[in-house]
Amino acid sequence: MSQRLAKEYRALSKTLGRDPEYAYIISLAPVSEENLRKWESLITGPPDTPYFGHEFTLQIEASEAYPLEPPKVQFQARCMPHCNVDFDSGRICLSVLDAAHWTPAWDLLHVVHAIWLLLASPEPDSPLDVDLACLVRAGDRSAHNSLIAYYLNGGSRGHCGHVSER
Amino acid sequence: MDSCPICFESLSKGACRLVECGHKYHFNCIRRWHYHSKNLQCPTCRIKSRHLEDIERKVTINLAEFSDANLAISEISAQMGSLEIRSNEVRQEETRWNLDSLECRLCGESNVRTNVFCQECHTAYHEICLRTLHLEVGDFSRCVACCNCHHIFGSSSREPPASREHLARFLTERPGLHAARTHPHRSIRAPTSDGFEVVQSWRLLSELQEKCCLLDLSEHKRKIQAHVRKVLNAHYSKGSGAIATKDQYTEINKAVSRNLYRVSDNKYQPDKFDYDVEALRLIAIELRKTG
Ligand SMILES: [Zn+2]
Ligand SMILES: [Zn+2]
Ligand SMILES: [Zn+2]
Ligand SMILES: [Zn+2]
Ligand SMILES: [Zn+2]
Repeated sequence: MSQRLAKEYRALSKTLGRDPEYAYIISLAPVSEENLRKWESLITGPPDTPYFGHEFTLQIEASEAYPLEPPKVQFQARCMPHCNVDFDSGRICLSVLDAAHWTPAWDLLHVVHAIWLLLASPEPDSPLDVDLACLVRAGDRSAHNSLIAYYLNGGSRGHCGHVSER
Repeated sequence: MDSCPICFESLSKGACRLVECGHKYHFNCIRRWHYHSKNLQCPTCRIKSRHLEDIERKVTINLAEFSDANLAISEISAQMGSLEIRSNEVRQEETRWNLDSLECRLCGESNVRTNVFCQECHTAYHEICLRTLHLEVGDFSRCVACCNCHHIFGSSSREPPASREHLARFLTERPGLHAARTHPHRSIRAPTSDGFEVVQSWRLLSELQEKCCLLDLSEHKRKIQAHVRKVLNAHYSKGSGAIATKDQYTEINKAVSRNLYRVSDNKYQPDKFDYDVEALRLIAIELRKTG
């Protein structure tokens, strides 16, 4: 099972850039080829969301027990305003990343994809950002989206997710 | 060729199938997952599986019963006799599969055959995992105890003090041992330069113990055979007519002794068996066969 991350890495080089489903993934690779347990991914926000046109970095760490245990994944700190993300730390609340819900049949690509889908469908029932969760729960989509856009464009929470040049 | 959804390697070898949903994995991969997740859900479809079919060996096991391994082990340990006596007879075909598939209580793996079974609580171990653990907690004695019920394997009476001293010296003199102690499992799975000496020392120790076992075994056999010879000599002395040739004498001696080893579990148990009476009975049977 120690070869599994190497296998994923090899498979990804074929999938990424070819499969249009994952066109939003700019990169998903180990930080250094020396240590396949630490990965980073750069993704663009999903269309029809305030995240669209912005890029975000995910930091991924697989334990020695991977894939029996889920990888630890988080956004770069203070970059992702989202009701299921702790803004200050970048920590993500997502059931597939829970040991109780994880299955070894998933790989890092699945995980990144699940997180990307979460950007488009926030779950206000397990919030890490109460303000945003309240707006989602109240059904005030436009207030929710404009608050996120405000943060992403350098609003008072600090700024990180920069506007893409493309 | 399909690949295993857990390790992504080819399923050409060691494949098995969850009977309820049909999803295929390597036996070791799915069992490691069961062990890790503490439930029997299929990683692909989450259907709870009850049966696992080993495709190569065409064996289906009931996972619910097998999971706690107790059932399988109690069946096996009944045939194993005691830990010290590892005769070839335990490697009977019908037990082989179970033995190969039991997981070590310490490392949870079944890739390497577990070779220590606690008869008190029916728990399986790799000898090396158990010994490494003892080493880790600073117990250098040759006696190892079950981590679950603390039953002591083997008897202390045959512990050669020399090897214990040898080991203690070995352990204190070697550099790199600290690393091996803090990462006991590393030294088990792939002997690195750190763990290698520990592995070597245990190998040495196991060899010693193996030798002891063989000596012991032959001691038991020798005592049993003495009864057979005594009875043979008393009732069928050469020239009495019943046994014609020296070869016949040897053949009967061998066959009867073998039978007696088996019925007494390779142990000389004079309190349980009247070897003289048993020998006499078996000799009569042999004679009827050859005569
Ligand atoms: Zn596998
Ligand atoms: Zn399944
Ligand atoms: Zn272990
Ligand atoms: Zn083990
Ligand atoms: Zn025990």
